[in-house]
Amino acid sequence: MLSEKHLPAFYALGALLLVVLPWILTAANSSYLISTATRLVIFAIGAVSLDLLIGYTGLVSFGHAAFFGVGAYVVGILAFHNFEDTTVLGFDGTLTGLIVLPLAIVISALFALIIGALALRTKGVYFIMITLSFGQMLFFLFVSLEAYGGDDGMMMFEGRNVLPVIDLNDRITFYYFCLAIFAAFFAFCHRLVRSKFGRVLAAIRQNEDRMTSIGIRPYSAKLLIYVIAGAGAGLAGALMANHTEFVSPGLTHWTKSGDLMIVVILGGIGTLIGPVMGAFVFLLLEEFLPIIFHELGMDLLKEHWRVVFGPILILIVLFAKTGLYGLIFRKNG
Amino acid sequence: MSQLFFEQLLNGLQLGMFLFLVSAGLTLVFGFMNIINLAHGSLFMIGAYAVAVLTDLTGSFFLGLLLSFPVVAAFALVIELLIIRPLYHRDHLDQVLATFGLILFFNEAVSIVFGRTPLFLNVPEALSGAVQITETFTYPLYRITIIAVGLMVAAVLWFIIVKTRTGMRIRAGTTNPEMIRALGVNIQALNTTIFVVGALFAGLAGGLSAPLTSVEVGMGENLLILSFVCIVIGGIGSIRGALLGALTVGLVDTLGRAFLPDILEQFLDPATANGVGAALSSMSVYLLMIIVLVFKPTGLFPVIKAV
Amino acid sequence: MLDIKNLSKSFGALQATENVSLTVNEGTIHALIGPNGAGKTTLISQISGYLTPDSGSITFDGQDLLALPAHKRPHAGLVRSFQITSVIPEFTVRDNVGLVLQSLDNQVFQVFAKAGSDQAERAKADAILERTGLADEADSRAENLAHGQKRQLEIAMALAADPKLLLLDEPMAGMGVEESRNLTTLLTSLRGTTTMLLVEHDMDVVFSLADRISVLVYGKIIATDTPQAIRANRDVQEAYLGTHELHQEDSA
Repeated sequence: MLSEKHLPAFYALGALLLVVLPWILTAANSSYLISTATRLVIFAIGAVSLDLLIGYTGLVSFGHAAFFGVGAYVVGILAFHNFEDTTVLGFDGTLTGLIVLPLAIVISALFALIIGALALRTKGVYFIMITLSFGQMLFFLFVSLEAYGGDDGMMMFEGRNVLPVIDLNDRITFYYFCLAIFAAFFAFCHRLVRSKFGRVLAAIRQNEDRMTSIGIRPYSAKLLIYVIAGAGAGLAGALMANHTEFVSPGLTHWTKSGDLMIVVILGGIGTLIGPVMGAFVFLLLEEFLPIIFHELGMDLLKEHWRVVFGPILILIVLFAKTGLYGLIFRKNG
Repeated sequence: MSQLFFEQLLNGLQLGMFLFLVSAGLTLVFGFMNIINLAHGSLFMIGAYAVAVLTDLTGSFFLGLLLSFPVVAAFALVIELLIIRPLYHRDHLDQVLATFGLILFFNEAVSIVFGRTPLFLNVPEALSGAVQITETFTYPLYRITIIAVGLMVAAVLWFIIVKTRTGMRIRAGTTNPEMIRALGVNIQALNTTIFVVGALFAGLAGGLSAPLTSVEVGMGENLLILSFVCIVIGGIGSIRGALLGALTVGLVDTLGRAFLPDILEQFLDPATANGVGAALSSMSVYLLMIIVLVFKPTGLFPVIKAV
Repeated sequence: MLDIKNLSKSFGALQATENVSLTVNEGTIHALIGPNGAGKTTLISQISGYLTPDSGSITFDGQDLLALPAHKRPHAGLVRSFQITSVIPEFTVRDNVGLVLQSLDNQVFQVFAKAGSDQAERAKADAILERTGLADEADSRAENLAHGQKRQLEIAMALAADPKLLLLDEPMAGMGVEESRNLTTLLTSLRGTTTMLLVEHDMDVVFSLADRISVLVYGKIIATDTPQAIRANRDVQEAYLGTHELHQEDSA
């Protein structure tokens, strides 16, 4: 078991692995897995953003996929109008990444601001149910958008967003682009949770009632972190839309919010790096459990690997609360 | 127009009854045991599948429904003993995740056993007719039966909770968990009973819905989330709140879908009205919940916890 | 400094505060005594904003206090401590105090400034810990402190806010003799610079510290006077001091 002293080395090793991953995969004749690696990096952004809420602030948000969906739909809708040469709310559609990606972040932040402002009036189990309901509300909103394919969603017929110099339609370039954004976001969160504001969040998680008497309004602090987390998830959604070149309401389905929560707890809440490992293991299971079951001659389980995953999740919750992080690191102090 | 309205009103009432049956268990389990159980929707699904299979075996819907109760109860009992009990003193995050794991398991297990193709069930012969309500207006007997069953369950629950000793304990335990422990009530047995009874209501709702919708994997999930909306509106832990919330949500959802596009057409051009109407009506119950929460953050009938 | 007029608050049938009027003069230590359940903590909670009174007014430092949201009151110089210890358990003692300093310096939303490397804050926090006798425990986690030390930390957090008016809700509760004596010395040293409204059961402490004493019984103030006069007051003796021993046992 490692101690938290070894974290920097662990970060460096992980970063190195992610940087050389495309070479390894290409060398191993498995370059099709670069797509999975890209998903991992994008998924990790979403998971880290959720960890800010669950792990660091104690806010069990069960509707995080909603913001993921908002970010994706911003990309999808602008691409759609660019293709159709029509306007949305008076604006032309576009594929220009320098416009689309910041806009996706801003609009998801705006959604998070509105939803957070309402949901954060409540606490505990009410908050869980309300964030779940808001997520479902956006899901149905997207389903009702017939112009954008309703239930079926829409394709991005002209490919991914366009950036100067960088060609996102190149598979490996896109991987590195997502990796760079992930690294920047991770560094930002790492700094944030150790900042003075991060200390306030930790205090709120441990003893919210005390805050008022020392002159802190928990609502404002919670709203700010909710908006930051929502923007992070929106960014991840915008990347995912680019990755799959397809956007559908399924992205915001409540089980996707559940998946994100699983990833966070699987990795270890309140650790940032834990959820990244969680995303890694989750995608690994998703990718390889079916293959493993196939190899074992259990073809029934190949398609239905979740029948095994469900109980695994329950066991983790009941017996291994500290997640992967807790398996690897001994907490300081 | 008024006839259509009346029909939609009854449809809304019927949806409200389904929601009530699911919400009642959810709110009791949360109020008394402080457990948030996502797998409640799975029990709805299990009830529906049990009725479909047992009806097929026995040839009678009523027999199938009756026999489905022990099946659902058995599932509920195992869930309670194995999963829920260790979660009593865990935080809500753990409860959400563990019961989410249960959903994953049950969804896949059901699709392994029954495949992804939905099962269909006919409305039983005895209830297949329509009732002549006015000279020109008829309404399916089966749907009326559902409304009646819902009202009966509400009445029985009211009686148990308000008039019996067990009900008194449940109310006491909801407002003041310490006291009920101090009284030396066998809390474990009471917990299990409440969980199983709540599951039976959900299973009953699933069974009753089987002839109306396709019996398929994940069928209870949408209803589960709507039930959350109901009990949040009504105030968690309150049966009265659950009933009121369920009826409100059932009516708003049904009437909204039926009439919002028409109403909007008075103000907007048809294409826009249709689009906006569809979007608004699919979100109407959530908007309702938001409005309630803005004014009453703990719902309309909050249960006041003793400190 | 603090002017309470005709304050009332009830919980259902229970009248917790009944037409209370009370003035705390600048620079004085004003004690509030009364049997358990008299509504002392309820009154403190209304002044600090944790509860909203049904009617009446509170003026603090010339401004209408009830118009000021609870979380802004510490910034205006009105700070409370809690009867039931309420610290941030996983924080170090220094961070508990540092958090208060951060709040009062309006640095809550500093997303980039690292929490651990503010030397000015650290120096200020250490000075406060020195004054409150916690210097040796600065790096201990708050949850690992002995009960009496947690009480000291509670006071340290209140003092860190540099209050004009300090509301102390039974600061000595659960403290040992030694700690209690130290705290009394500390509070005495603040006399004149920090105005205090003190709720306390320990009559030795009350009579040695207070400039004025108000007696609260069943939500009503039955007397406000100097310690000598209160000691001699017949009503007070009947309503409270006579049964004082008994209540002491209750609260233990």
